[in-house]
Amino acid sequence: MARERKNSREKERRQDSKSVSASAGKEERAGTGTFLLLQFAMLIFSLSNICSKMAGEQELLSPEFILWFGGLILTMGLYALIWQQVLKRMPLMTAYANKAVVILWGLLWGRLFFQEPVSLTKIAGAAVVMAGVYLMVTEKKEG
Amino acid sequence: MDIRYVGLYVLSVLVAACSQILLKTAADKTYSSRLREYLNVPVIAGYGLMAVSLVMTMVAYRGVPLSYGPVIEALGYVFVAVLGWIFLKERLTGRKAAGMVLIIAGILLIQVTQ
Repeated sequence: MARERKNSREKERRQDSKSVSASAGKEERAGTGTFLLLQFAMLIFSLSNICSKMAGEQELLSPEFILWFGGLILTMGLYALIWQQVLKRMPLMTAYANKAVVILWGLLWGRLFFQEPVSLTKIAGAAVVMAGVYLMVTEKKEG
Repeated sequence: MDIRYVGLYVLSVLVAACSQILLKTAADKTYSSRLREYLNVPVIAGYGLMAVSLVMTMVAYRGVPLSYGPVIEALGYVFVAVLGWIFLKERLTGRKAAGMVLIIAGILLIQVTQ
């Protein structure tokens, strides 16, 4: 009898924990894979910024303009495809905060391709931004 | 700098934040196929709004220095958090709010000290 009661209690508890995780819902599905996908989307987004900058510097409708503008459409499209998949698995607030990572990529591409100087204050600012993103994505209390 | 163009820029950031709410609303539904995840009213309306926001930003740049852009766009984090809290019932915890403050502070540090 006692064992039976214990068993049924355990079963109840198991059902309880199941229903809790179900109500916590989709937000909990976000794992490492989703996070990497999100970071990949941000890399693509930063590349679309390069295309946009380059297109803006070309003569309108010149072959170079069409090339960069095409690149812009392509990268934005790819970004949109991935973004929708990320949103399925993560709260919007958390996913959106990762846009700040694009700033970091922007500093790198600016240095590499446009010879833009990277000052100490810029590096410090990027570090502060990353600390903020870290706080956002490591929040456990979702949904 | 013309305050009306700054206002237009802020409005464009708000429109972009609204488009994110639409996209998230669409992403939370289940669809019969992968294609349907993209070809539905909220997603198409969402990206439509984003295009509107892009045009507004381009016009706003007539009266706003280029280096101010990212600073005004940093408002997007606040708009998305508040709209997400209202319309999606997402929790805005102290930790998330602190994260957002840091992100915006970092952006200010990068842009203003240029």
